[in-house]
Amino acid sequence: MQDNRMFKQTVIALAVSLAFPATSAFADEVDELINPNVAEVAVKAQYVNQANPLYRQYTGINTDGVHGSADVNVVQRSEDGRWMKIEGRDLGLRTQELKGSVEQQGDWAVGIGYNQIPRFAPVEVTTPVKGLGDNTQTVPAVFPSEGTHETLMTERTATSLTARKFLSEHLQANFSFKSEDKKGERLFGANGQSIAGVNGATISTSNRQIFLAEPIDSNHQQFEASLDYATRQYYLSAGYYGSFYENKAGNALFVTSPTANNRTGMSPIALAPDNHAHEFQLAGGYNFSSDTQFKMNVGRTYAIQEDDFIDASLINVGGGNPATITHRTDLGGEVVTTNVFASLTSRVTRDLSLLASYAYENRDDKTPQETYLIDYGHGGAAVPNNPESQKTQRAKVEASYRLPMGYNLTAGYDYDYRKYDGMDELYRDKIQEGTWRLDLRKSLSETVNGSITVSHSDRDGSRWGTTPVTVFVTGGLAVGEHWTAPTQFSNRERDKARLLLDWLPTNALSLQASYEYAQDSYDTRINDIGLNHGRSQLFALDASYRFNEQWKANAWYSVGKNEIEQRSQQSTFGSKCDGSGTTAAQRRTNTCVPWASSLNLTSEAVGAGFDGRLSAKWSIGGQYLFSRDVNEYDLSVTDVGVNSPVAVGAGILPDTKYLQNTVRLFAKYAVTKATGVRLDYVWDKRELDDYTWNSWRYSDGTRVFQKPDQITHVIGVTLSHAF
Amino acid sequence: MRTMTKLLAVIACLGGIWSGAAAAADAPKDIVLKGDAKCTSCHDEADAPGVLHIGKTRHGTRADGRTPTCTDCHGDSDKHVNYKGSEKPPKPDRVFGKKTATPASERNAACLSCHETDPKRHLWAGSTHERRDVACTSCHEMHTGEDKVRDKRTQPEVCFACHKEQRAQINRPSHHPIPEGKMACSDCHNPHGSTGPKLLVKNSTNATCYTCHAEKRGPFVHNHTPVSEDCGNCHNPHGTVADSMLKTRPPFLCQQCHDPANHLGGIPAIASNMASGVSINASNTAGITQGRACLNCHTNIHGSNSPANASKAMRFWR
Repeated sequence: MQDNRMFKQTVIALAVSLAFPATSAFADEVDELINPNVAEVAVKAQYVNQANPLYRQYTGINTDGVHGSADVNVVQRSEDGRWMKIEGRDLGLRTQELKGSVEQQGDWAVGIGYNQIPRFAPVEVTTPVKGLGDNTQTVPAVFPSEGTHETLMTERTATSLTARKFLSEHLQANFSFKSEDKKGERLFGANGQSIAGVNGATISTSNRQIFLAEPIDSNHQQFEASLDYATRQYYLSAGYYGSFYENKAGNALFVTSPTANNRTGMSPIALAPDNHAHEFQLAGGYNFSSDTQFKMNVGRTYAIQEDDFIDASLINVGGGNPATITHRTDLGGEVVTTNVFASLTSRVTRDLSLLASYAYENRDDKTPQETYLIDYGHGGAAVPNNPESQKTQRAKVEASYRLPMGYNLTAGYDYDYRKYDGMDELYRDKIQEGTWRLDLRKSLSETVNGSITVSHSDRDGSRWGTTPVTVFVTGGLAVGEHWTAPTQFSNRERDKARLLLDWLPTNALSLQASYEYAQDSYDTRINDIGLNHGRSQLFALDASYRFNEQWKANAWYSVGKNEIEQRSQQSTFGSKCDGSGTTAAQRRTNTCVPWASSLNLTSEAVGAGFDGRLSAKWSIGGQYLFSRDVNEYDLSVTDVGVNSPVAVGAGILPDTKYLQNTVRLFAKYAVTKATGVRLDYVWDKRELDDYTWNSWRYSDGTRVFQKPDQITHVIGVTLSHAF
Repeated sequence: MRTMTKLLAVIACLGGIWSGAAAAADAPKDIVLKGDAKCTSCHDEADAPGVLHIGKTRHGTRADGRTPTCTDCHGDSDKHVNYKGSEKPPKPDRVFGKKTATPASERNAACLSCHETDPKRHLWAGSTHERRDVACTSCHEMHTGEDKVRDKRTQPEVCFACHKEQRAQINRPSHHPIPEGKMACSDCHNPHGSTGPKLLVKNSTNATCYTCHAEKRGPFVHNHTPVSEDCGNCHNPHGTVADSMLKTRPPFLCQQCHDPANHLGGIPAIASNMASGVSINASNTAGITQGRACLNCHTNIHGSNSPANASKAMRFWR
């Protein structure tokens, strides 16, 4: 009887299933695979324990406790190809962003967006300076014992609009607009106020360096519009980009100093001026064949800066001198930049391809030049503003040849040329650099691919300029005459090599190793002063492994070393550098001390991650990041005997060390197919041993603190539901 | 009872015959793309469910007549399709996975046959990535609704597969908010080719930086040459240990260019090593080393728009 019942049930089931195949189940399964439509909401609560300065920098969470936020993700695609997308992240936090778009695929699209990016200074400030965030700040007259605890931060809030429309099969119009407000304050400062007290300093020995916070309140609007006509044969494009920057914080930061012990009357410190730029571009390309293509782009940009100057009546330059000399009320700044780019690529034969490209930029600073100041302290020279024009050219030729066995050899030559106008007195005005490159790569192997690249560059230029008369000291000698030898102008030989190896020993395992080496050798302008040598190495190893369809893991390690050798000379203004003099003070003044520094940075980093499914309901994952940077400052000072002007304690710098250890873990549980719970845990440890702010105190008593040991814990619970 | 059993058996047989007949009469049906039955008759939800995810993407939007089918990208692959043997069939004409024998240029040609006309890809030919045999699929995943490289939170890990140095740098204390997911590599770089150096989105380094840092554009009354020339002279935008993403911390950075006259050649020192009460603004002291170092006084190092008749303005103090 029992068997009979079983048989009947089986037959019924079989009959029904065969007569009415499970189309609905099949459809559901396939639909889940191919249908993009989703409507999800996630609500998150995260408990933050010790929102440390380095962790909070961009996370937007500055206080301990529970912080709530929400994520939204809606994607709907209609049968006729119309998409609607809404995506919100971190809603409720300072990092929140929300964007939405509607698009008829292949026809038109519009989108809007809102985005916040906070930045908390990774330091804490205790300062007696008042008015942070305003454009008038007050420095105390006397060294106070305590100040106010301040957190400096800036926040960007951007709204955007984008639109695209295909006007025909080949013609499309694009438009975008973005308006970004930036508010807050950041580390600033000035030299000016002598206050006794710091480290026992008197008025005369005070460092005069005061703490200020730059007030930030600006708006930046950017418009971009283009028309593009493109076929398989050719394309033409015309575009406009406009950028409008407005500094609402004003044109100056005024510092109130209730004491006479200040330099130049604490004249206001100029803030960034309003400016705007307009870029027009024309581009085109033509395919002579499927193997030969020509591209060209021409652009012209007008950058204008004509913000009102600080009112002369508000400027105090001290010494009874006039506050301003110029009769202008604004700079009348205009920089016109012309860009031309062209490239030709061709596959000459099946195995040989060629490339030639050329880029030209002419930055023509048309700002009117006139005298803005008299350098009373250095011979009374009239100093004009310094419009800076430059022309750059970049050219490249390259040939790639496909060799047998999957090898490919590429040889190339790059040429860079720069010419400067208006600064040839200070520097050399022409620089050129040529780079030979050779690249051998093996690809198309099923298991091992790799490449080796080597290059050699030579840079030189015209003769160095003469000492500028504007800063010449009458009767001055060796080190009384300022000169500059910018590193980017120096003769340089550069060698680089890079090896990359990809190995896929099995379908599940992927390994990658890379090594990079570079060395620079500089010829400096005078006496090896400046940057002499540079060297860098980097080795990295990556591995990823897929255990099965559910579980995978990856890990990587990298170690790098950067070395810089540079030289300078400790000297006193006007020194003869010959040790001459009849008094100890004169001999000291006339003694110069060559010194050298070897700056080494060693960086190690380890990363690892895994994720997988424990069951149909549970999935887990985690990431680990270790990063350690050690800077060593090896200074060697020439012993010049008893006349040395080197202060006791100078030339000894401790290493700086930065360490990050971050563990992120998550577990997800699918309560139902639509509802899930996620747990997150973050352990973030930073160690910072840095002399930058340790034992440093501004003359006004301000202290800036970097926590040497920072640990932040975050526990998050997220409840998500798909509708 | 027996009658009932027979009846059920007959229904079962009829059902089977009907459904079998129907199945036999139907040619393989497309699942996602027009004409994909050629492939999905084998690579269906049971064989390769991941393949079908292309339906979630723009490529899978059939209402858009431009969207491709499997063979537009993978080739007609007749040998693969028509293989009758029991061994593993020959591979399709174009394979995009890691272990592919299809040259990158050939793989890319499949994508460019449509995307070459996209304005942002006009300069792909001749770009560094194109010349180094980077394939579109080296970065992009087609058969997923969540292409990692198109999400700013996950994009950097795709780029770091090759750019190892930058991977280490973004974790240094002074960095752009890349690890925090608020910026991505493509905010500054166009990996598909550009007119600027280093595949930057604008014609020059500075023009790229000004899209977020327009306050540095000037021009100023007193310009600082390396600033107006190239932000990259002093900054490493991928991250540094020194504050403000400076490549080397001051005064060393400044001393690489400036003459040693007066305090410019000062030997760095820190206050805790100095005698109490020493003027820490002197030539060889903490005033040029700690805090913001040289910038303690030369506040407006990016340029000053002060019209003041004071050399302090020229030297970026004011």
